[in-house]
Amino acid sequence: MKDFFQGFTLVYGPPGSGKTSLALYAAAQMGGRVLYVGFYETGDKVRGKIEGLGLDPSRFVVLDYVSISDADLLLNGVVEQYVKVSPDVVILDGINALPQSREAASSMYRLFSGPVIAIGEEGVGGSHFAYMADTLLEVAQFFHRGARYRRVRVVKTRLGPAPGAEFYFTISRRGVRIIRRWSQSELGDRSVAVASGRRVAFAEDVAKSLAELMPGVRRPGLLNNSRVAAFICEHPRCLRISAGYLCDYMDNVRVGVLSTSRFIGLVARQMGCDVEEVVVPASALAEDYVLEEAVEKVAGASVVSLYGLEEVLAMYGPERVAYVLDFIQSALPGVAVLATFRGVEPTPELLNLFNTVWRYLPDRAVVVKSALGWPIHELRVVEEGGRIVFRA
Amino acid sequence: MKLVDAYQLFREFYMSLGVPLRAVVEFKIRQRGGNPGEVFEKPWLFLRYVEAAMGRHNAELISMLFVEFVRRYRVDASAAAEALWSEEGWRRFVQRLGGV
Repeated sequence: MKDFFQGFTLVYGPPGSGKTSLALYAAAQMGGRVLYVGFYETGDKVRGKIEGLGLDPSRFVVLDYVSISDADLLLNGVVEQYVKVSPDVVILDGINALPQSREAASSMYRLFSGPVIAIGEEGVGGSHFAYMADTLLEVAQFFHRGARYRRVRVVKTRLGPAPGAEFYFTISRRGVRIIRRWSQSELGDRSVAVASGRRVAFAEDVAKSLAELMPGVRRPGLLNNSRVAAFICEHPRCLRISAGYLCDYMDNVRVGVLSTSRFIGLVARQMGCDVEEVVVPASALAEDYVLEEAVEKVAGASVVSLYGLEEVLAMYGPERVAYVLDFIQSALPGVAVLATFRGVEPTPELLNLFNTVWRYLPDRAVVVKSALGWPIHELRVVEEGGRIVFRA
Repeated sequence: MKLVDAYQLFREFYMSLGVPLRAVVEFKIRQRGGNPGEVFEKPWLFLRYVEAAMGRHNAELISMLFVEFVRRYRVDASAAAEALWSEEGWRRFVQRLGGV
């Protein structure tokens, strides 16, 4: 969070986009004593927001100024309070209420010795304050297919992330969370989970050739920060492969299971393991707090396994699928994600969200994509001795 | 120095605050069981009400507004900063303006 707020930061955007919450949360991370000077919202509302973000209100001095026509006098008042309070960080909420002159911007820039977060309306992005600011952050909120997205865009920076960088963020009782977009380049090199092979396994010759052809990989498994997708058919065997894999991972590590409906647990029970599903209906995934609650329940797991993403895809589109995945891996750094889509095709847009993509058909398992260069692309699926075996 | 009635000056200042700000102040005074009209007879109560309702910072801001207002009338503003904070301050302000 600190990376975004360097020196004098100007945050601007439309009402309700989350500017004030973003600033309050960032300020609390940057210093012990925060002076909040506001010209729009009442002190009680701001204090409510501080508590709503799970922050300690005793660290904030909240001054809500009444609106007066003499903006110069207002500026004087702010300066007096700054000297009195001597804060580590200052938030100026509603900078449009201050004189919009080069002189005012210049004096504000030089006045405060510590970090300053100024908040303004959309139009302030082209003002004198914007020219003076070290960092310009444009905040927006939009709805796409019924799901809410909050976005912060770095328009200008002297010290922080590259200009043009965009991040989604969420606001909840747990604070503000910046959602980092996952990319294949962040794929880790540490194995976090290896399946036991009790229910689903590679044939011995396949495992041997994999070990020979993929240096460093003794047994296929999941790397930290990896994402693997399985696009499974509707056939019961495909479900069993999926549930069998889940059980085999659960033999060795803690797996958090998030599902849009209660089904994988039932199949897993048939495969001989007990799964505690965290069920989150797809219809509830339009809001962030649902994701926050779900992620809290699976915290501490090495792997998060997702089921029912085809419903999320149908309801909100691939953007939301990416958002959910990014959210999980931002909230649980290093966790490996195993995502299952049932009855849908792996489109190019979806393929980009994963480092490895499998398709399970009743008689075949196909490697559609592999960042690590999976040497065998199509395997036969057979049942042998109570196990599902992938054969070359 | 121009001779000005301090009470009249305060009344004009109060009206100059504009309807939105006056409405907030009057509402807050009433909410606390006070009578907004009382401040015209006892101007030193005004900032006490503002401070209780909207915080010290807003009371200080309005005090600064009063000083500027008095200056604009080209009368001696040296006692204006304390005028609205206490009865004693108001008394000195009245004396400075040549009243009793």
